[in-house]
Amino acid sequence: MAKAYKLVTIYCEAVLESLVVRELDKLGIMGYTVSDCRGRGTHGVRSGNWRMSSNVRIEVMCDLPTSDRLLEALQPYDRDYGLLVVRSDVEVLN
Amino acid sequence: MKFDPIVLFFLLGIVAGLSKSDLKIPAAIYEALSIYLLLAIGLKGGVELSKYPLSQLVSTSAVVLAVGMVIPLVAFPVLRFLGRLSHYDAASIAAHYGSVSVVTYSVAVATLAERDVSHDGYMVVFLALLEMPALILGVILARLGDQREGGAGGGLAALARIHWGRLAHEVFFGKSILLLIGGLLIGLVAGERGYEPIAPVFKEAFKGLLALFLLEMGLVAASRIAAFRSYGAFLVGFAVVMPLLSAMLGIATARYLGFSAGNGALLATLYASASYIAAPAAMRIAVPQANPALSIGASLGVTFPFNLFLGIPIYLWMAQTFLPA
Repeated sequence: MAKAYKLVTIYCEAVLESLVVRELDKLGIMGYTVSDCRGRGTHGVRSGNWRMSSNVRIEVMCDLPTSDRLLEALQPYDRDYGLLVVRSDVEVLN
Repeated sequence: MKFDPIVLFFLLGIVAGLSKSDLKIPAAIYEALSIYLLLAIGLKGGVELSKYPLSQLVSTSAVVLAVGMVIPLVAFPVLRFLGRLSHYDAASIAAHYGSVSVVTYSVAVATLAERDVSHDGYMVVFLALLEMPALILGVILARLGDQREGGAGGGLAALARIHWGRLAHEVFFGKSILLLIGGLLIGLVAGERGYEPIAPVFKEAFKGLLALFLLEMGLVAASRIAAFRSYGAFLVGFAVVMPLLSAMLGIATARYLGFSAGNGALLATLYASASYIAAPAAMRIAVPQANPALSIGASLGVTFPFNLFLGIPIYLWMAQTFLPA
């Protein structure tokens, strides 16, 4: 039976990864997936050709209240870092 | 003027970047090359170090380190009050210039070899020593600025808000220091005999791989050069004048310490160089308010190419003029 979850996708600077993961740990989130990515946004082109211009995409599945708390925890980073947090509905099939 | 071919690789990278060529060096190769360079430099220094009594280096290191800290302390007020930068940016840029560039050092070593100027291998100890203290100083300058500008807390409360643990971890266990010191220790333990079997990889191949890394740095620097206009004339001027002044400080220190011309040229290069591997990552975490485009633009976009093409030959000339051969 498919279970409904929230998928939170965090696009951020690669240097921020360890800090974001720390927040996930604090919230007791067990699983996450990180992938390298590149692209363009309000912080200009992030070409990914060295660490300082690399981005990562961190995907987390959790329930609605946890996703709210996660957003709250990430808020302090929003001012100074390239950070985009997106939430969507997903169904886990297995 | 005759350039070492490895410098021309950097130029090729710049040309490729500026002409929007599709040349792209995968990030994994960049990472691998930087790991290789740091380890190779550490190892070589360690092997050289095993031939010297360590105790003699302690007092010399203390002087080199103390004088090195003058650089960020001079750069900060210049950037803050002459350049009218925010105290975050001033502190971050000061930290970049106080720290050192491993690749600039390597190119200087290659230049010395090319021109038959001898130097002592233990100079790499200063490279390792100078990398981190300026970063810590930069964070302290940024936080003290917080306090002056009406931030929360009085007295030394501003310093208490620094995440010392996180900063220390980034600085001491960040890959550049870990590999440099790690390589140094392995080289020290291995000595000349233990080093011999691995020398084909870490010694013979070094210059070729350094050339590849410079090609990549040229590509990255080109993306910074394209944004030149946004830095402002002050910062560009700073990025050229600061290394020259730091190099003079280096030559004076080398004279005081009785260094040979080769060692003096390397010390001048170390003082003149600005970090762009360890410092940007550490500053991004520790002083997030600073704009990384300014500090990386100055250190990688201006100072690094300046040192490569003009700086190193000038420092060598200064060393040969003012220091004994």
